[in-house]
Amino acid sequence: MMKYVRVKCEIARIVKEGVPYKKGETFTLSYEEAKKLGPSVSIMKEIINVEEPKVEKNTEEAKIEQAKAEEPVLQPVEVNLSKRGKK
Amino acid sequence: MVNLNYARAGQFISTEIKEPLRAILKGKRAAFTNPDCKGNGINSFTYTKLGDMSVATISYTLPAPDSNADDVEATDVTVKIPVLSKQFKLDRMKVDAYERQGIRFSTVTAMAAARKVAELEDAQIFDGWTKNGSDYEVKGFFTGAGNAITDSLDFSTFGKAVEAITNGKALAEEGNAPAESYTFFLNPAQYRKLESSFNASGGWEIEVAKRMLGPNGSIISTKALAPGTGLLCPVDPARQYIEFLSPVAYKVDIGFDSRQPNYSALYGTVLTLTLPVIHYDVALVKYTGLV
Repeated sequence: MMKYVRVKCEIARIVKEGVPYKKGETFTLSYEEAKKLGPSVSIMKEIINVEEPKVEKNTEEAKIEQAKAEEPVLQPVEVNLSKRGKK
Repeated sequence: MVNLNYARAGQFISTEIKEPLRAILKGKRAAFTNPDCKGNGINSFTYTKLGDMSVATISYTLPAPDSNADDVEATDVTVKIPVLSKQFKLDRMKVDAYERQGIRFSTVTAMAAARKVAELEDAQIFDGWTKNGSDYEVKGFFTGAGNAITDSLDFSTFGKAVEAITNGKALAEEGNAPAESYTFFLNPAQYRKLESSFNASGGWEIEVAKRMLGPNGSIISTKALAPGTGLLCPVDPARQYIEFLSPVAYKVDIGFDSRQPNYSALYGTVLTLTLPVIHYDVALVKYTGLV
């Protein structure tokens, strides 16, 4: 178990596992790695005690997918129509 | 008679500590020092920083006055230069003997103080300086690098150091910060691994790595970098990417307690003013995943 953090790239480019992240893009790092990078990244969110999250590039497609995943799911609500209008 | 002037002893110590300091000071090899910023009394400096501009034009005619009116944008930047110092004590009688008869005296305390200042200077050059532990007053070349590679690269495996240099140079060049030569700073642990890395046919990786760093390139081992980290710096004599502002470099000042002018111990101070300046951070590439 390790501590991971979601970080924002604050410099021109950070290469993680061969994938380059430009300024403003977000990605996940171990807390130790983030500490070594110092002011080159800003920590946005801490993810505690999880397995290493998959490396994903913060592309437009990923953003859309993430937005879809975060959309509230509408649950069906049961309405008893027979009781309507009864006093 | 009270000898109020210990300038000669101070000069003697300055000369004595210079050579050993040269071996300790690694950070100063990262950049060139601005020759216009020299002398006592300078604690801030203003330099001109160039902004971005549009591309130049090409044509068969001479340019009209306003045809390419996008001037080179320049802004003045004023920076404060921090003072790094350490005090030490000297045996009064021995220094008096030197002042009067030229008898040499031990400079070990002065050397120890100078070493402490040098270590602090190296730390500042790479890591910068934070007054409160989090906000940077000064960004060092490592903390202020515009490119970072976090890939895990084990330097005991032949080819990994060369891969690190190749990737680092590529990042600097992609960011429009090419250099003819580079200095590769490594923590001693990684340097030792690189030093002893060779392939099956007996080729030493360090030789290949040095060749890749260009004609004036070098690989330097320094404890100022944390284990597992490294820094690729351009050799930049034109000081277009990085430079040092160092108006006073390793001066030794000697004085005494005026309440006891004839018998007080002598107090020395080793002092230097240094500021690492990053003009274009993309020229610097740091590594945080070295093994």
